[in-house]
Amino acid sequence: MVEFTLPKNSVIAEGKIWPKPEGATALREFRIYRYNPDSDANPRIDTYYVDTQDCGPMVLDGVIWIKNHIDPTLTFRRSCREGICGSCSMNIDGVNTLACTRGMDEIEGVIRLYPLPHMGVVKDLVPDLTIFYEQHAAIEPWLHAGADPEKERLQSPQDRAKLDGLYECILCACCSTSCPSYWWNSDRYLGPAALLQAHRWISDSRDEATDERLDYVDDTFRLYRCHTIMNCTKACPKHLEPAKAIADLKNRAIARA
Amino acid sequence: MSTPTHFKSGREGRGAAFVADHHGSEHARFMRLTSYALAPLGILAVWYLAGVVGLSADGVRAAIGRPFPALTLIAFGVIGMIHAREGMNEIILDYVHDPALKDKALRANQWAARAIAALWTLALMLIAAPR
Amino acid sequence: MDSSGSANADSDPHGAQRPLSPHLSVYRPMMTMMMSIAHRITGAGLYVAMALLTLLFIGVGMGGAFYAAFGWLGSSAIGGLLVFLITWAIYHHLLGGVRHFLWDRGLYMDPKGREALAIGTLVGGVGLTVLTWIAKSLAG
Ligand code: HEM
Repeated sequence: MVEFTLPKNSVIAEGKIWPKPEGATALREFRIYRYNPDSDANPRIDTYYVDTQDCGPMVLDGVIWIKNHIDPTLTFRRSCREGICGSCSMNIDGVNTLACTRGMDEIEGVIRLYPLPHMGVVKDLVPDLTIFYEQHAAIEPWLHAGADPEKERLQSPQDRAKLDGLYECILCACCSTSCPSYWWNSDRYLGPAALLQAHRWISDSRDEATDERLDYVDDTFRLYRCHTIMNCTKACPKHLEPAKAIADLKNRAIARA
Repeated sequence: MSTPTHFKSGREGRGAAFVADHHGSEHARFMRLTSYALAPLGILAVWYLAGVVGLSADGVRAAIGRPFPALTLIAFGVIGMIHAREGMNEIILDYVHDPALKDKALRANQWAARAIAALWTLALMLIAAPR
Repeated sequence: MDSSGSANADSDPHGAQRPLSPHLSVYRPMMTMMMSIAHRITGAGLYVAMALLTLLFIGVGMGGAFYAAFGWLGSSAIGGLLVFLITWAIYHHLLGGVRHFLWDRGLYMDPKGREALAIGTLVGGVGLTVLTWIAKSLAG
């Protein structure tokens, strides 16, 4: 049976309350999931206070401020800090999104940070994305076309437009890890991110493997664990619509079944 | 690298153990078709069900024993239980991962749904039968 | 779960023991997700409800000891409440089906549309149930 609760080694304990920065007038309280793989202790929630006068406006700025000023052991992924690399995805205030594009002022009260849900935790806010990347690789996210062409493969502006809203995915995993169906069956369900990419290649006028691609996803688990829960589309920080892409994949699969 | 997942690329997998099962589409189409029938039947069923509360046995027979209500309810029960059997299969596939247990649950669901549909039909025929 | 924690077990000594990050307990309960869960609960609930109604119909159809055993499902106050809840479940699940019908076609998936459909399922289900019972009592 699926476990709806956390296994023993994952149950979260109350952690440390770090001292408030001295002399600060505008404090923001952060409660952050901590896990250290080099200790036997269970994960815990640490409380930090950020001096917002001394810090940028985004949640990522706050986390970096904590690392610089309070606790250098706090671990998270980040790179571009402008919503294009997809590294700083995490569960913020109950919803998956990018820490660099979520403003602290968009959140009321305490800012709660967890790693992306239902993932193995490597350390603190860093989840293990191995399976997520495998799923992406499984749909073969590259052009399948026959022998070397004599000339450039042209695509009309209309056909190119069909890729809008699909190619912009930054593989942050916010959508897949927001999906309860993915939580229960991530070993067999491809998940919204990989299915959006499957749809991106199926929609590409230059790709010649449309049928094989549809054939691959037409499966009780790979595609049809989607129950249109909508968390994926709501979570996407790039405002893409994985749920719509999946609906289209289902309609195409049903039409040829 | 070895992993416990079922993911292999579509190309590599073709012809091997990783081909898709092609059953999801049938199931989805089936849920859609049955739901089209169940939507109008469901509204009528609600109407008849709301009409039997508080009645005596004779009262219930008079209310739903006529041909149209009885046949409507039979159709709702039979189509509803085929639809519910498929729906429950889906729930089992989501939550029950142990292969042996899953097999048992799927089989129990088959028989339970059939039994309910059959008894439902029989009971409504008894109610509608002239006496 | 048997998978996510152990993905890299071969190459990474920590792989197998990784804790699982929290999921249901931390994700914000949003209207769309709640209505999806409600569709599942009403669907499974109706499965049981159909069995109960079958017992009532058997009681009415067979009479005698059968009616004595199951007749309360229709005649008593508790039975009446059960049937009332069943009619709500049918309406709620039916409207959930309409929501699926629209979303399957890619309609009303935008931020406003999806919230409206989710709230519509909830309000519509309760509203139709109440209306039906009022109409039924007026119709005698
Ligand atoms: C009244 C008209 C009905 C409509 C329009 C309807 C529609 C639907 C649809 C579209 C689904 C698929 C949901 C999905 O894709 O995930 C579904 C699932 C289901 N339905 Fe119905 N249904 C109706 C009546 C019933 C009845 C009477 C029962 C029980 C006897 C029932 C039991 C179920 C179950 C168990 C599921 C699976 C739930 C899930 O996967 O979450 N339905 N229904």
